[in-house]
Amino acid sequence: MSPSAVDNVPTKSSLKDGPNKSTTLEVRAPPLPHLTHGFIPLSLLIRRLVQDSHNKLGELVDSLQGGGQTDEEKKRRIIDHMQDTRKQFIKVLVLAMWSKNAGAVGEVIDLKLFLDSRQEIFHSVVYNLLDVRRNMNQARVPNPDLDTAVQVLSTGRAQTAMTHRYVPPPPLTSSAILRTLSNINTLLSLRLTLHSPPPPHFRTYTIHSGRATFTVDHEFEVDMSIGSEDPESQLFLIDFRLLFHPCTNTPIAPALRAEIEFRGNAILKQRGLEGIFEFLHEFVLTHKIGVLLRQTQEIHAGRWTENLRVQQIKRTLVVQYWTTRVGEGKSWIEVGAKRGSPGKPSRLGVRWMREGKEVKDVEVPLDIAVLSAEQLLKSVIALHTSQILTTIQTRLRALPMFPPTSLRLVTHATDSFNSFLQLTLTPSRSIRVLVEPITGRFALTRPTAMSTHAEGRMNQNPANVDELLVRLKFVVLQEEIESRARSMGWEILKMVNVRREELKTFFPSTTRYMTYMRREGWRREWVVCVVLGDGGEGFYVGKIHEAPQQWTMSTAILIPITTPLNPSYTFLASLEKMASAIITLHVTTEILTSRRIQHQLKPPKVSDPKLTIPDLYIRFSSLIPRATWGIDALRLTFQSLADDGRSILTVFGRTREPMTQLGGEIRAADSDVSFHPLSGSYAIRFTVTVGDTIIDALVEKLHRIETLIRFVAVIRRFKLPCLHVSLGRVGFRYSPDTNSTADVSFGSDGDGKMRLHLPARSPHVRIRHFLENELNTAGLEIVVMALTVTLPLLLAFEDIEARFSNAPGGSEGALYILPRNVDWFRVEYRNHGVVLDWRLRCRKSVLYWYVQDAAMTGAESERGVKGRRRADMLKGIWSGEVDGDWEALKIGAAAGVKGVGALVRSVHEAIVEAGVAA
Amino acid sequence: MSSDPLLLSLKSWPDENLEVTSVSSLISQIQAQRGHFRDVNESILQAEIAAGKDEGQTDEKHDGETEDKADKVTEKDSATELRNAKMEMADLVAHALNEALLGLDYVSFLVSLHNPDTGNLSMSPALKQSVPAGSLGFDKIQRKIDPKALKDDEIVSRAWKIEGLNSAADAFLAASRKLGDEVEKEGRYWEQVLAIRDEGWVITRMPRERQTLGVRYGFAESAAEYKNKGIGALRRGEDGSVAMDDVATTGSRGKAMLRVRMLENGEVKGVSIQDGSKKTGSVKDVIERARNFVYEDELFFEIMREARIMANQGIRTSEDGVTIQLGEHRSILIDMAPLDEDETVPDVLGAEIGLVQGVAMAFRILLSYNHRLSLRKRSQPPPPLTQRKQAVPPLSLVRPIATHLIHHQHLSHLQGLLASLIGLAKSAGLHAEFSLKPLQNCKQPVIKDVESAVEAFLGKLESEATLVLPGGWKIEIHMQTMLGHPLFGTGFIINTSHDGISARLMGENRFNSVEEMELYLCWCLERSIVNEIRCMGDKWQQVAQGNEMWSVDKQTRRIRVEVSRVGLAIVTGTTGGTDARVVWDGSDTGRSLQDLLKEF
Repeated sequence: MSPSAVDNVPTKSSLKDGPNKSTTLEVRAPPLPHLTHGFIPLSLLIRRLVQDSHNKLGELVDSLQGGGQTDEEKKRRIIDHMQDTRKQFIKVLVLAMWSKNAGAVGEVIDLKLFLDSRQEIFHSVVYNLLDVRRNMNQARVPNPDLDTAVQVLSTGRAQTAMTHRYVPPPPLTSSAILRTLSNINTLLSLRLTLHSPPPPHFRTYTIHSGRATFTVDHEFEVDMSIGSEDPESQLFLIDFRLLFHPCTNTPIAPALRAEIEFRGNAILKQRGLEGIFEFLHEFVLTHKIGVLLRQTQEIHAGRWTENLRVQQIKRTLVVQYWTTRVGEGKSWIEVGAKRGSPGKPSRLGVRWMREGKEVKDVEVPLDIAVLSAEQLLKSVIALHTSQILTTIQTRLRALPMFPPTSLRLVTHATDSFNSFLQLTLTPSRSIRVLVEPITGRFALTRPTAMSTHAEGRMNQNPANVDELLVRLKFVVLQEEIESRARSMGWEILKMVNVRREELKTFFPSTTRYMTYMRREGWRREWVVCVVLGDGGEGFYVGKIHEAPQQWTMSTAILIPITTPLNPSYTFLASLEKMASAIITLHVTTEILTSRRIQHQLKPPKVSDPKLTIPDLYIRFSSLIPRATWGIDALRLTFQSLADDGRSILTVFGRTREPMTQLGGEIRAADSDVSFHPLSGSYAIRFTVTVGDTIIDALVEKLHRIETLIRFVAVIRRFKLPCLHVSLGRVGFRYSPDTNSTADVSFGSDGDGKMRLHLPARSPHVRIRHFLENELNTAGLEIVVMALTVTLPLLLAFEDIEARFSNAPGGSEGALYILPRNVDWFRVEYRNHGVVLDWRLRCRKSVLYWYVQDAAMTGAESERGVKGRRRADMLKGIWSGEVDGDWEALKIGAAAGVKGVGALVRSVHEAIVEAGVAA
Repeated sequence: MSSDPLLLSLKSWPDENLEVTSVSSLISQIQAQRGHFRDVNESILQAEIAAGKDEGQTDEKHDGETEDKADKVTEKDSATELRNAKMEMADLVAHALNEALLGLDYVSFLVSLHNPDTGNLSMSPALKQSVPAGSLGFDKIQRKIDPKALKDDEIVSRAWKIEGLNSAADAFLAASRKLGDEVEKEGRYWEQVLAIRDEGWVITRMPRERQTLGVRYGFAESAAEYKNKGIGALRRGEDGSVAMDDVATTGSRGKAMLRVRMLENGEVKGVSIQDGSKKTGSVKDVIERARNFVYEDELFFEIMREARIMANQGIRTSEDGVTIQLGEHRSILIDMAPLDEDETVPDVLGAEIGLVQGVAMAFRILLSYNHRLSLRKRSQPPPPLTQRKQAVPPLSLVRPIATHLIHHQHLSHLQGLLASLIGLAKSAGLHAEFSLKPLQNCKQPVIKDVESAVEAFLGKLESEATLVLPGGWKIEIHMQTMLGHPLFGTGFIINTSHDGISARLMGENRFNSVEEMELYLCWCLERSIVNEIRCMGDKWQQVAQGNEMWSVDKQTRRIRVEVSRVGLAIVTGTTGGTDARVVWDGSDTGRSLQDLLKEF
């Protein structure tokens, strides 16, 4: 800054202040001090330099004269010297040129000096002021005591005695305190009603004993009071009590209470009732979580040991339960404070993580009034259990083998030991699925070897429980059927092994388990198959064949079972009946089909509601062609089982005409066949091994019935008394004589020939074979006729034979009676050489016995037999000379059928006499 | 005041006794007089007024009362005393701290006048809030010392000194006396400790208090949870005799012992005797009792632990006990209960006292047996180390006992069944009988040592029964119970021998449930009666080995034999006719089966 610049400033200010002012303040620049001290003239400097360079040059010259120096050195020193000197002179030159401005520089120096002196003055002023201030400290006056001043001014005396605060006031009496308290009560109620109504959560309060007691249900109770009459002054916390079990009656630790009181008062000061509520509420929540944590740790050390994992993460209590349970993620609950919504404070909440996933749709019940970790765990576990069981139930219900009645779910809200799913496995067995609360293991009760096995599997693989239960049901059912069947005498065929593909053609594709059983006494290829599958149970009759490698199955017939399955002993007995019937009917129909015999199965006329076995109707005319005696419908009914397990079948049929000719005597005669003559119906009973057919036997029986009917008719026609009638045998009497009975049997032998049975002493014994032959060729009619016709003759023969052997001279073998046929007998008197032929002839529809001498009428070959001669002794008879009940025919004689005896005897006597005479 | 009209004002004059009557000062006065405000309430005050004690109670009185209370407390026990002392000390320390802080505040406040930075640093926030810093001034006051007062002070200080010396002497005397006592007490203490050791107890240091001696009365083979519970501290009592801590030894359930109860239809039929050992209170007895309680506690813990894996056997656990269900109506309840107070045995012990007492005793024997097993297992080389943590399997306590109980239950059921079947047959005039040989395999155990004595009763239980039925049937029933593989309950092996006519099957049949066995026996009786009828002169023929028979003579006549648990029924009928049913239910009807058949 130049002095002129200083001058300019006031000029400007004076101009600014306005021209109107007459007096202007003019600040003159103060005189600058001038400094000359230390200044050196330039000339002196130059002079000194010249002198110096002269001196140095002289020195150089002197030194150059000295020896010991090379020429080069000398030259260098000269050059050095010259250069130095030159530098000095250049500097002087610069100074000389600069000194032209020397005047201005001097002025700047003066200015600087001036400014420095100014600054010095400022500093000393500050210092002086500071000094004054420091000295003034001593001179302070205290603030006036306005309170006391007012008192003094108003009352005229100071009441605050010096001793007032140090000497305690006289103790208050109880009534004084009581008065104070009621005073406070009033103040409190005024304050809470008028000035600061409490926040919503503190609406429940009572005022007593100089305090307001605020109650928050299931959380806490807090006593607060005032510190002064001012309604705006802060409230003070007096007491705090917890209002939830198990902390209700336990006092809070004094340290804790002091801490709460301390903090609470601070909060009351800052945030009032709102703040204290929030503080205490949060404290209670935390405390509750702490209580739960402690309870959990306690039970973890007790009976829940090894099955809980307890952890506290910040303010959240995490309890994992069922820690030893296998599979399906962990399950735990988190107990923590849930954020409150506006108008609602935060609350204690439970988050439930079931198998690793949070359950949001179920609210876990937590009793905030009575805290119990065990109760909480139990309810969560009960919920979990119920969920598990419900899931199983839902899955099982979808399956047809679990009808709704077979599943019973009972759930308990808190004690999961009372929750169970009861499954009816078989009508007699049910099982309960439980989840053990502590370990989470499934338990099946009551246990058996099978259920325990399933239980173990369920616990290894909890995701697959329903499937395991389904299997268990099958296994139990199978075991029950097998065990009971075995007790009943069924044979369980464990070795039967049929290819699966083959089974698929017979049984539902959902089949899982199969049991083959056979009753003792059945044919080997027939079995009952018990089929258990998703679609339910089924009983089949199966026909299996054993092959070297693999069994094969050719037939499977479903046994219809209308009632729900109950494999009781009765059921198994019925099953046997049913299976036997089905096998028998099946075998029968198969044969009928293969023989192209018309047949049909129809529901039975009379049926047992438990056992409906169809009847098999067979067309009679198709079974036995050309037979016309029976009506077409033959009804084959399965009757029952014999005690050896064979089937008893009955075939009912009816003849076209009533069988009145049979009379009454047939009824009890035959155990296999029975007749009802009036209606013409008959019943035939068969007992066959299960698996065998009866068709051949039936055909044979029918043939026999046919024969029987025919025979009896014949016998009736001849008006002979029937001795007995049965399907294989007809006995009748053709003469009153005792020995005159005959039995015809038919069909009892394999060859189908009829037999004639005669008593040992029957006169017809000698022609039995002819009769039998006749029976089989010409029928019974001829035989009966033959019997009656030949009887007198044969009786007569017997007579003469007896006489002959009784005669004194008679010897054995003298008389031979040779039947040639039923109507031709040859009688040979060997001793007499006489041979007679007795023949039956018919003349004018009347039968006669003709007797002739074989020698006369016989064939040529016989005539010339040695010792044979003509029976001349009979000429008398032939010629009619001997009179009798016969007709003489010159070469013979003829007698009626009845009267032939006389002729025989006459002839005999004649021959014998002739012999004696000879 | 009112006499002076000039001083009238609309403003209310400050109350004369503002300091005395304001709520704030009154509250502080009440607090000073009565302690914490929370301990004061209207009812107490009214009671006091009613009692005529309407006077200012001073603090001293109040203190005196608390001292009295404290005296009473000391009599209770040392733990409470300790706690009280601690609280008192904490109070005092807090008080001292408060005083110190107040002093600090005061000094800081003073300092803040001249040296605000230093002063502010140590001023408490509360003080800063209430007053501006540096607003308290001070000055040095010169005071003349009164020579008379100086003399007084000297006298007072001398008296104090003498008093101090006296009290020091007294303290020394007391200390020497106390030391003498201590020596005596210490001697007595060690004598008794030695006596305890000589009895065979293990004396050891307490795990957490290294300087305290303890006695180990727990069991070496206990589960991990009980390893550390079996130590009791041997403390020196008032007179130097040993006193054992009773608190830590009683387990979680207090002084309780295992109680076994038998319930039938919800009615208690028997309670085990809750009789502890002698109650003389000597240290040895205390140790023994502690040992017993620990044993009982461990026993219950192990029972609980085992019971929960046996849920499938009808055993359930609840918060306080284990229930073993025996059939529909009976159950055994196991829980912890305090000892019976009086010595007399109450009448409610009931009829099943023998059973419950036996069960309780068996539990105790079995735990000891399990301890022995554990010792044996530990003496063997340990299994190879694996990554997986080996779970400790539960002990075998409930299983053997439940096996016995279930076996007995099934045995009595079998007995009932056989008796009723026999009764049915006899009431129908048929011959039948049975004999029962219970617990065949436990009859004569070979006892080599303690373990084998117990082992004989573990494992499978077997009973046998022989049943002779009509028709020449003989049935041998072999009943086995085992709550494990392969039976998981009771199994029956039934051997049937007969002439093989009325039923084809003979020989062995196995049943795994009582119901099946019952069904089978009914079926056997049915068939045997069928056989009996058949043998009555071959008049009846059996239909296909069923229960129906028909008459050999008259084929339309049929009879059916039906046997169930409740009765033996003969259904007679003719084809096409109605059936008649005759039932023998075990009571004597005076009509035999033979009579019936004859009539029919």
